Amino acid sequence: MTTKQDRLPDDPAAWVDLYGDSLFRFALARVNDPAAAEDLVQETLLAALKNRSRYEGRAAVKTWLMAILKHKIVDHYRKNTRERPIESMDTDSDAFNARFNARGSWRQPPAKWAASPQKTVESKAFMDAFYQCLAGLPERLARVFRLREIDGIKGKQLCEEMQITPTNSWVMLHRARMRLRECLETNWFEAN
Amino acid sequence: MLHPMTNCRDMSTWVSRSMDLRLSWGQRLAVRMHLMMCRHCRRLYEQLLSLRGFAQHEEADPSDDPARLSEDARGRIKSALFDHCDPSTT
Repeated sequence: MTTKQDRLPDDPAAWVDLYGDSLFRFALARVNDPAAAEDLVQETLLAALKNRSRYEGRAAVKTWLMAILKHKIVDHYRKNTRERPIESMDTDSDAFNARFNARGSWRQPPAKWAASPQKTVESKAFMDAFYQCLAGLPERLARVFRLREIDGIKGKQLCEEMQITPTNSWVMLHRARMRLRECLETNWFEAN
Repeated sequence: MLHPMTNCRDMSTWVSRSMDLRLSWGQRLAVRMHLMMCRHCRRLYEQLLSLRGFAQHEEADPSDDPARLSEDARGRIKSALFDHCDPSTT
């Protein structure tokens, strides 16, 4: 699919015919429930309709819709996950610091990930674990990661969306990535 | 000036930052040299890049049946879209 010539069809009904099945398949793979997957597709397209003026043609239409769907999926997971106690930034940095010794060298270096990333994404169970881990991050960290890595938003725009300073955005992204990495290491790569 | 011998804990923040903005020439060089020397940080960097790949991945699993939206759902979604369509914006 080319990025440049992609155009959002004017008639939203056409979105259902053009992209409905792809969205449905992706949603179904994540939630394992056809009715819930249909709801997610509907929510996605309604959100797209509401925000259609924000589609800038930078990404392919399908990628844009997929990004919206991924946010909906994470929200869906969050709803179905017991609310975690709010962790303070202190416990957060404790977990991070525990991987290093006093001089800042690795005490517990990153474990080797068994399969290649290409192979990994083909595993349904892995992608489930990925979305579970993402949904389990503290809300603000999950959000900054989603905006950055799913929507590809960065710099000033990211700071405006999150209402944070650039320095803050780098700190939060670093935390989000380290926690997500750790969650996958524990729940996927070591468990399998 | 960022030094290649900066400890791994601090370097991990620079590795992450390098994924979000263009570092200065000196910073890039320091990060690159550190990664050349330190296989743990190199692995960290690869894994953080993989996270991006996972987030961007958009194909459903090929092993799945080629599931499709049912006609029912298709109709339902279309009418929901129609209900929410504001004619002034089209």
